[in-house]
Amino acid sequence: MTEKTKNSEQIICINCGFCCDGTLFYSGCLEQGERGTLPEKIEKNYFIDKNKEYFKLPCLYFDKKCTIYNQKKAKICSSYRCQLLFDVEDNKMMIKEALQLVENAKQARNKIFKIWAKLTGDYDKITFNGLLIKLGYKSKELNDKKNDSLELNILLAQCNVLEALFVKHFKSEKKFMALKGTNNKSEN
Amino acid sequence: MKKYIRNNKTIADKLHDELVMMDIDMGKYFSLNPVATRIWDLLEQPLSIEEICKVLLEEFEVNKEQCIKEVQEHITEMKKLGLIFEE
Repeated sequence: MTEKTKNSEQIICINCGFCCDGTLFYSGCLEQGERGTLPEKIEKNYFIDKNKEYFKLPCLYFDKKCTIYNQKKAKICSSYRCQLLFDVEDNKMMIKEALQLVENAKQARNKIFKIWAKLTGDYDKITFNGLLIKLGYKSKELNDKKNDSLELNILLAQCNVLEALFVKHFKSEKKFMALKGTNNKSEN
Repeated sequence: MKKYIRNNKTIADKLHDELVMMDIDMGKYFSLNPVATRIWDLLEQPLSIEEICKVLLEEFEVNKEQCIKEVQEHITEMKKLGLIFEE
């Protein structure tokens, strides 16, 4: 990776943070043996699931950007690169476009947070993944009571579309293709 | 002259130049390529194929005949998918 690419990536990551703040993931993966050598707050968020080790997200060291960037972190924090970074590296997207995409994603996510708060009166600070969980419970609760809420169903669909966009632009195009339905002429 | 308008009941969003939509009944996603997405954007207001082409000819390097042909194809496809209506 060239110095120019590294600098571009840093600009994008500082403006984004979706991989740390609970927008893209519920948790970060840990490698075997990392536990016990990690920063205190990552240790605090440690958990095991099906014999694999993780730490919960949002990362407690994330405050608009990584607050321990130059210190020891979990290996995944330095090694993870999202689809957007690959797209910029491969010249599929300019840095300016990538930054605009991040901004659009933040606005879309925040719009959904506001609708959720307005619908439920729940103004607690929440992550996008946290919202998906809450929305799932709420939807089930209403279904069980046979009390269908159009607004909530629309919000659920909006969240699903935004989640698909996060997969497409930040996780991987391949995963996004797997989500998609049948091919048609208007598709790429 | 036939005019078309977007179906606002569709759940769709975009972060860059491709629109992603969800078919709620099937629980499947699909996306529109950048040209189809631009047509979708323009159809916030009722427009005819000629009016759409007038805008696209200024934005894309394409000749008029090709543009009309492609817009007609996209419109047909988008109508079939229930994304737009004929006014």
